[in-house]
Amino acid sequence: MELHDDAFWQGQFSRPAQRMGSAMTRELWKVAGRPGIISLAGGTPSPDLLPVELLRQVSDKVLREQGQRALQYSLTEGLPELREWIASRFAGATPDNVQITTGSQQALGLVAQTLLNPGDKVIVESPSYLGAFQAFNVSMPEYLAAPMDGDGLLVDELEPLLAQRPKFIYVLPNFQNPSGATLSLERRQKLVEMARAYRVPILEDDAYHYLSFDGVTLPTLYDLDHRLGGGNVIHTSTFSKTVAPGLRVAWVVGPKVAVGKICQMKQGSDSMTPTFSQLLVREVAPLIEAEFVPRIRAKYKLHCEVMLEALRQHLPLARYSVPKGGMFFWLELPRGINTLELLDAAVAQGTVFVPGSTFYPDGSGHHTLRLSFSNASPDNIRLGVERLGKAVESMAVTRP
Amino acid sequence: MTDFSKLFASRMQRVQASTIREILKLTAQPGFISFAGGLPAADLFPVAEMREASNRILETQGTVALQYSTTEGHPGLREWVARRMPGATIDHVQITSGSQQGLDFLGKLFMEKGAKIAVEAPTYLGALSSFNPYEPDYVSIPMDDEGMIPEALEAALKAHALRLIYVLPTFQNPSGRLMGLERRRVIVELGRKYGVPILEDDAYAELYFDGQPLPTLYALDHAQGGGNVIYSSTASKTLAPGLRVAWVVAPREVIAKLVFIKQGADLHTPTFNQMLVYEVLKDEAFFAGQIARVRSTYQRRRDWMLSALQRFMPEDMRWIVPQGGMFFFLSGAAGLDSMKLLEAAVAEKMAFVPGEPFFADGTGKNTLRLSFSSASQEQIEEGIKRLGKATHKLLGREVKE
Repeated sequence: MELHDDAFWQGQFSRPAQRMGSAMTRELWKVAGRPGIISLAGGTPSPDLLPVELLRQVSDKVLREQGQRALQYSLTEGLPELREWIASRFAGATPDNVQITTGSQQALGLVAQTLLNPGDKVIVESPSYLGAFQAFNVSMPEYLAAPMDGDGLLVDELEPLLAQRPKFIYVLPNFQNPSGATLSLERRQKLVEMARAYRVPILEDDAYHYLSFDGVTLPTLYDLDHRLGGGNVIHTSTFSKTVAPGLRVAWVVGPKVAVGKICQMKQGSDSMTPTFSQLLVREVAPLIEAEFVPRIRAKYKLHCEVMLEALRQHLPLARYSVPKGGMFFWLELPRGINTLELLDAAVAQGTVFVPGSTFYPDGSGHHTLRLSFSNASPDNIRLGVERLGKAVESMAVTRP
Repeated sequence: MTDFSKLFASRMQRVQASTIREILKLTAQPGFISFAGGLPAADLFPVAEMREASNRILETQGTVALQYSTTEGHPGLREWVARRMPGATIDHVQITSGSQQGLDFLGKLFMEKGAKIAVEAPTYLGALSSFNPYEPDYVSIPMDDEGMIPEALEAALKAHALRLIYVLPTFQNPSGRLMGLERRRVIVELGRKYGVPILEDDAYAELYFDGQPLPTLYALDHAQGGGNVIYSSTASKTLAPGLRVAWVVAPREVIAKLVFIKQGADLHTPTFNQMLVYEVLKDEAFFAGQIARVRSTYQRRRDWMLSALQRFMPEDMRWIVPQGGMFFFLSGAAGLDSMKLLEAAVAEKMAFVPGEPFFADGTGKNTLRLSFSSASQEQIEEGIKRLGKATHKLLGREVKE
């Protein structure tokens, strides 16, 4: 018997920590790892896309040529050569505009901690990335949910939310996680202008930037803002979707004042992103657009087509738009079906997905769900969707 | 355009660029000798073993190493950590991206405006940087040569509802002090008696030169029934800091929350790096040899620095001889201003860290920290000579040759 019970610890914990913890998704990942379960839940890259042999050669080279540097502490800002490479890809940016982070997950948390006092308002898309809520919640904001359609955020409905003086607007403009929606060029333009007019910064999460199936990539909000004079968009993206997520290397590009503060926050958070991981990424960075991205696009496009066909066959009740990139299908089922309950039925059939309500700041969206096609093989995608179809049927049968 | 300085959260007032960091940027010039950084010696990094391990891992488990992994951390590594802590299982271990991240997480978990935290005076500056964004109030506990003074801690425990007691019992950064066994027992008992958890930062645990390691506060607490000590340590001082692999060992209620905090903070520590560290640590013979090399090298460097201090520093400058770790901590005569001394030292092309920032209560103006971990004999000799010269000059005394 240990000295303290749970109530004691709760009493010692801070308010945000007391509230923390949604057991559902953590249980979900455990189930997803069970043998025999086909997981359509995680947004993890396909294992065959990971450049294993290349990274083996590169690791060997880095440790041979600059082993002591790779294993030593380095600057909190990130390695100069990596910041330079990233800056070169953003109009008007210099290395001083770039902060390296340990995954873009860290970038979200650092931006929130830098800007948010408890009770401050943040505009988020509804639905939005689950991990962003986890990153933001530590700073105890109040969420203002902005509605979306198949072309992303409904920019025309933003005005009343902007009038409530939020601290920032969090947007995933490309192949949004979870909805798969891409913000149209016209809406991007308008969003950037409105945000400038209201002096409310945009936090642009562009993790899926390169994952368009047809190779069409719209200008970033960062770029559109830059054309208007710049200084109002903090942009984050990552090497997790293009190189490998297990390295945990991502970045923030933004106005110098903001990036400087984010760096000071990072210093106390984890000192720096691993030197070794940054060196590996820098070595392979020139290959991303020429070699990695075309392979990734072709593969995910194929996976998406396979899933579409399977959905047509096994889930006639579901409504969805066909994604033009990214890793996800977003499904709306008939309103009577609660996808939290459906998850249990799906586990019984041998597949898992992520229930949609976890992506809504207000916990609504009970009839929605997210399916990922990035990680499973085409055969498993077909089988997983078939199992999901059976789970939906079993719900429909048992429902009074 | 947007004036971000008006948008920053109020916590950012306690998150500022340090003037010392700015001064230390000057030390990158050629000919400069710096004892400021607490960097482990790069020539001791097991580069060849890491290289072999990296080839092995990517040849046999490449898709695992490069993929997302569980938030708690690599099971083998957690198991390795748990085995060294009495009573701990894998479920008591969370892997973090450096022990700095562990400190930040414990800040998120225990601290908020008005929360009172006991810290040693002086304490680890990096911990204060981790804790500051959560805006706690520090209660500074004075130390003697054996560490935190128990009577002072007990007085603080009586006077305040403390959330946490933060202690570095072994070769403390910055003071180099080692808390004795009896003192350890008393501190653990005080924590239990008043029901205030202890955070034990044991980053320098393996770096003892003479004698035998003392039991951790975690182990002493376990002997009393356990559950009141949260333990933090790292692979940064024994293997290499550039991989950012460290761990927290704690009661399950604490680990359960740390997992959520970690998930929100960065999902997990890089998979590949955890596998690399595990691959090298689990080779017991190699790891024992590695630690022995680090110990003997640092001990030699300490001896060089001690001898130079005795020769070049004024008689009234005090220090204890560290029995391990990476630092000498010097106290000057009252009236010595170590910020002014730093300016004088920089003029002589040498640098150190003034002690004041390590004191949460703003005292310690007459103290300074010198790191001996990565300097050569010549650098130590020449650097301390320059420091001695700067000190004598500042005090208006004749320079010792």
